[in-house]
Amino acid sequence: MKVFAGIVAAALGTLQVLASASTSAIHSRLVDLAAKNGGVVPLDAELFEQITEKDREWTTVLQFTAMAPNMKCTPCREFAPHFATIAKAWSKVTPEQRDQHFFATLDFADAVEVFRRLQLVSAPALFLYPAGKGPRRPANGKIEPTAYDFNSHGFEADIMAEVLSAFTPVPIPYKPPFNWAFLGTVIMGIVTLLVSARFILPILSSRWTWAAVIIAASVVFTSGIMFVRIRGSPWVGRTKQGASWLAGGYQNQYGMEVQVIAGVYGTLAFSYVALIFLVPRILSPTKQRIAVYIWCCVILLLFSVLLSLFSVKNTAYPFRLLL
Amino acid sequence: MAPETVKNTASFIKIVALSVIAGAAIASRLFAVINFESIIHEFDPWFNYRATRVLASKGFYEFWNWFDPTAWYPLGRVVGGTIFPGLMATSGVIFNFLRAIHLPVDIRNVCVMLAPAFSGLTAWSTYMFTREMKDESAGLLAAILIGIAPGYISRSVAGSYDNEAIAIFLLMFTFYLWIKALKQGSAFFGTMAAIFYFYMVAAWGGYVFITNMIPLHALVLVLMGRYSSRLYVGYSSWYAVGTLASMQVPFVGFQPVTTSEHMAALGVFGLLQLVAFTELVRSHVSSKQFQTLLRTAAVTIGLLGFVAVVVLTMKGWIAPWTGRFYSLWDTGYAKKHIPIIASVSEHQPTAWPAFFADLHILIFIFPVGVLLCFQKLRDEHVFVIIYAIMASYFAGVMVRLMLTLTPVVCVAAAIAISTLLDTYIDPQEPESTEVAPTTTSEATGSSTAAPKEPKTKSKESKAPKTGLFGLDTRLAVIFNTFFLMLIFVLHCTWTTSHAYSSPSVVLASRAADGSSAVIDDFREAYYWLRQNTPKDAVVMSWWDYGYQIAGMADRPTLVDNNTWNNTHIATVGKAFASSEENAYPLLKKHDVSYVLVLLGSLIQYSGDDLNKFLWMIRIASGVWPDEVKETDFFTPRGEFRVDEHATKTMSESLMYKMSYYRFQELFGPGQAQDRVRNQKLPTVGPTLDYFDEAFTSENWIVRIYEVKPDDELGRDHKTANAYSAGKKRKKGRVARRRFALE
Repeated sequence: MKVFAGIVAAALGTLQVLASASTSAIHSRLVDLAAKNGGVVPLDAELFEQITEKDREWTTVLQFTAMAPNMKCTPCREFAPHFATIAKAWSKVTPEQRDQHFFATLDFADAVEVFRRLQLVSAPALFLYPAGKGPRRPANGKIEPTAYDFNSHGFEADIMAEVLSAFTPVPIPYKPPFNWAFLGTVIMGIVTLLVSARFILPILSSRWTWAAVIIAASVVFTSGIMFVRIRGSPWVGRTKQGASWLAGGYQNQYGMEVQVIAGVYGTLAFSYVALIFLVPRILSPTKQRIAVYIWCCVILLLFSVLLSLFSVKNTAYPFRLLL
Repeated sequence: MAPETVKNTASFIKIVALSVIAGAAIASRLFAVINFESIIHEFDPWFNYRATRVLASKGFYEFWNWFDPTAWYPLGRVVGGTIFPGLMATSGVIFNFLRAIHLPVDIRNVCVMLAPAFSGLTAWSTYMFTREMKDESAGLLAAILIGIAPGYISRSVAGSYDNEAIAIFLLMFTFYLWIKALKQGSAFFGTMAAIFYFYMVAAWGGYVFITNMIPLHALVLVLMGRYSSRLYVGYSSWYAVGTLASMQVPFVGFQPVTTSEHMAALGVFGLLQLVAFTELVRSHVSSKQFQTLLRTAAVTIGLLGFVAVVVLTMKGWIAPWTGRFYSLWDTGYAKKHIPIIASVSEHQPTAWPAFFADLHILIFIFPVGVLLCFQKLRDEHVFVIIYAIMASYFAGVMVRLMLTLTPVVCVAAAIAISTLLDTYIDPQEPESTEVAPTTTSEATGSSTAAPKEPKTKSKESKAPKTGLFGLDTRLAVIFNTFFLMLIFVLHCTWTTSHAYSSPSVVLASRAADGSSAVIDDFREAYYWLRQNTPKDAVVMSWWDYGYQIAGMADRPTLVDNNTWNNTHIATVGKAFASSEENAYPLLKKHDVSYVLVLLGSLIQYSGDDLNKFLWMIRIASGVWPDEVKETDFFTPRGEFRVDEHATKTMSESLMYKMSYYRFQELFGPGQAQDRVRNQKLPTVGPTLDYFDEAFTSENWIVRIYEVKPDDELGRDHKTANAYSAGKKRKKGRVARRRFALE
C-alpha cells in the first residue's frame, strides 16, 4: 500500500495538480484499477463517465466489447487478447508516463445505455480519447474521440502498438512475444527426424510420397484455398434460411467449398487414375467391364455435380448435365 | 503400305492438324472484332498502341529516347527506360515487313491481330514441349487444349494488345528449348533458350518466372542426385548468355546481379560449378578420404556463398524482393504496405469458380498428368511437376497468374488424356483368366491359384498380361472422354464470347426488348476532349483512365496506369476525397483544367469511380494519414453510403459532388436512385462552386468538369457564387461580406 501511495504521489507530482480534488480522486482510482487488472481498466457506466469527463488530463484507449456468451461476438473474443497484450506492455512504462494514459474496456452487458447513446451497433470498437485539459490537450482543440480503424489496421497487436504509439505519451514498449511453441515444434521435429531417419528416409526418397504431397497440394490450391486464407472467408455463411456452405457470386467462396471442390476434383482425378492404371490390371473380363462402367458413371455424375455447383456461382452459365 | 508412305502421311496429317489448330486458336479470339470492331481493348493496351505508333512513325532510335512530357504531368516519363519494348518492337517489325512486301496494313490492325497470331505460335510451341514429355499425339492434344483454353484466351483476344500476348509463346518456347538443351546437353539449345529468354525479358515482367523455374528445376535435379554433364552444359550456357543478354534491356539493367529475384539463378549457377568441379576431381582421384574432404569443401563453399548473399541483402547491396513479388509469398504484405498493388482487381486471390471457368475439365485431369510424370520421372518430367505445383500456388494467390498456370495444365492434361486414349484404343486383348483354366487345363474352373508356369509364360509372350477385354468397354471410355471434350469446347466458346471478348472501351448492353445496343460513352467523351479542349489542357482522372485519355483524347494526364509514383497518385486521391475548397488550390497547383469522373449509376456500370473511391481514400491516407481518414467516409454503422445517410465528409467530397451533380434532375422529385449501389439519393443534389460541368456522355458514364479560372475580383468562388445567387434576395448580408473582404 505504501508503494502504491508513492506511485500516486509521483503521478500527481508530475501532473502539476491543477485539477480539482475529485479529478485526482478519479485518477488515482483508475491507476489503482489498471494496476490490479493487468493494465486494462474495467469500466462500468459510472466509471465510463468519469474516465471520459471533459476535464480529463489523461488519454484513454477504450475498447467497447461484448464478451457475454449469449452475444456470440466472435470478433470480440478474437480482439480482446491483442488488446490485453498491448495494455500489459504499457504497464511496464515508468509510472509518471504510464499514469497519463489508460487502456480501458467497457462491456455491453455492463453499460447498455452507453452503447445506445454512442450509437454503437457493432463490437468490438476501439476509441481514442485525447486529453481534454492540461499539457497533453491536442493543439487543435479537438477532444472528441476518434475510432481506431479495424478495416485498415486489423486486429493484430504489432500494428496496433505501432499506430497507438503516436497517441500515447511515449511509444508503447510492445515486443511480439517469442513463439516458444514454434521453436519447440521445430526442435521436436528435427529430433524426431534424426531419431527416425532410418524409417523416414525411404519414405522421403520415395517418389510416391512426393507425388501424393504435390498432387494433393495442387488440387487444394486450385480449389481456392489461398482465396479463403487471404480474404479470411468464414467456414460457412449465414443466410436467413440458416447456414449455407456455398457462397453466392462468382468471385467469392467459403472455407467449406475448398473441401467439397477439392474432394470432387480429387475423386474425378482418381477415376481417371483408376481407368488408366487399375482397370487394365483386372484379369477377369466381367469384373473389368463392371469397373469401366462404374468409373465412367462416377466421372459423368461428379462432372454434373461440378457443373451444377458452377451454375450456382455463375447464374448465366448455360450448360448442365444430368443434374 | 510402305513404312516410308506411312511416315510421310503421318507427318502430313500432323502439319494439317497443327494448321487447323492454329486456325481454331485464331478464330476463337475474333469474337471481339466481330461483335464490336477492330479496336484496342482496356487500359494498358492503349499505351502499348500509342508507343507502337511512335515506333512505327519515328523509328526505333526516336522511340528509345522518347520522353513523354504529357504523362505524369508535370513530371513526365522517360518511356524508353521504363517499358518492356518487346511487344512494340515485334509489331513494328511486322508492320515494316508488311510494308516492305507492299501490303499496306494499318498499324492498329497489326496491333489488334498480334495476340491471336501469337496464340497460333503458342499452340505450336506447346506441341513441341509436350512432344518432349510424351509423344506427338499428346503434343497435338496439348496444342488443341492451349489453343482454346479460356485461361489463355482471356489475355489474348484480338485487341488485347498487351505484353502477355506474346509472352506466353515465349515462355513455352523458352521452356521447350531448355528441355531440349537439358536432354541433349547441347550448348546450342542452351544458347537458343537464352536468346528466347532475352526476348521474353524484353517483352514481359513475368520473365522472372522463367528466371526462377529453370534454376529450381536444376536444383531439384541436383538434389535428386541427377547431376549430369548435360545439365551442366545446358544450364551454364543458358545462364551465362541469358543473363548478359537480359541486361541489355534498359528497364532491367543491372537487376540480374543486384536483386533477390535473380539470386536463385546465380546461386544455382555457382552450385553447379562446385558440383561439376567435385565430380571432375572425383573421377580422377581414387582416395576415399580425399573425396570426403572434397564433398565437405563443396558443401562449405556452398553454405558460405549462401551466407554471403544473405549478408549482402541485409547490407543493401542486393535489393530485397520487390513488393510485387514479395506479396506472392507474404500474402498480407501488399494490403498493409502497398495498397496500390492490392487495389488492382487482377492482383486479387482466385476463388475456385475462376479456376473452373478458365480451365474447365482440365483442372481435374491435370493431376493425373502430374501422376503420370511421377511414374516416368525422367529429367524433363521433373520440370512439369515443379511447374505444376508452383503455378497452381501462384494462380491461387493472384488471378492474373492463371495465365502461367494454363500452359502446364494443358500439357499435363494432354499427357493424361493421351495416355487414357492410348490404353483404350490399343486393340490388343490380354488373355482372360476366366477362360484360361477351362481350356488349358483340366483343373477346376476356379483354380487360378496354381497356374501351370511354363504355359502362362508362353501365353504372356503372345498377349500382354494387362489390357482390356471387349469393344464396349473401349467405346464407353472413348465416348466418355470425347463427350467431356465436346463440352469443354462448348464451354470455351461460351466463356470466350461472353466473358473475355468485351473491349471494355465499348460496352454491350441489352435493351428491355432484348435487342442489343452498344454503349460508346468512353470514346464519345474522349473525342469530345480531343475536339473541344486546348491541346495542353491537363486532365485529372483516377489512374485507370490515364492511358486511355492519352491514347484517345491526346491530352496530358496527372497519373496513369504506369503507377510508378505513389505520391502523385495519392495526390489525385486526396483531391477527389477533399472538399471543393481544399481540392481547388491543389488542382490549380497542378495546372489541371479538366476533371474526369466515371458514374455508372444510371446504367448499372459497376466499375465506376465511386466504387473505386475507397481505394483512392486508402491510397491517399497512406501518404497523408492526418488529412484523409478512411473512417470519415463510413457511417457510424460502418457502411459506405451515398444516400442521405452519407457522412458529411463523403457528401462534400469532390468525387461525390462530381458524380451526382445534376443527377437528380434525371428523375422525378425524390425519385433519384443509384442503380449500382442500390441506394436512394437525397432529394437535393450537390452544388458545385469551383467547377463547371463541361460534358456528360450519353449514358452519364463519363462526366467532365472544367476547373473555373480564378475569380476576376480575387474572391473565392464560393463567395462569388453566393454573391451572384444571393444578390437579389440577401443584399444586405452579401454587401457586408464584401465590406469585410476589403
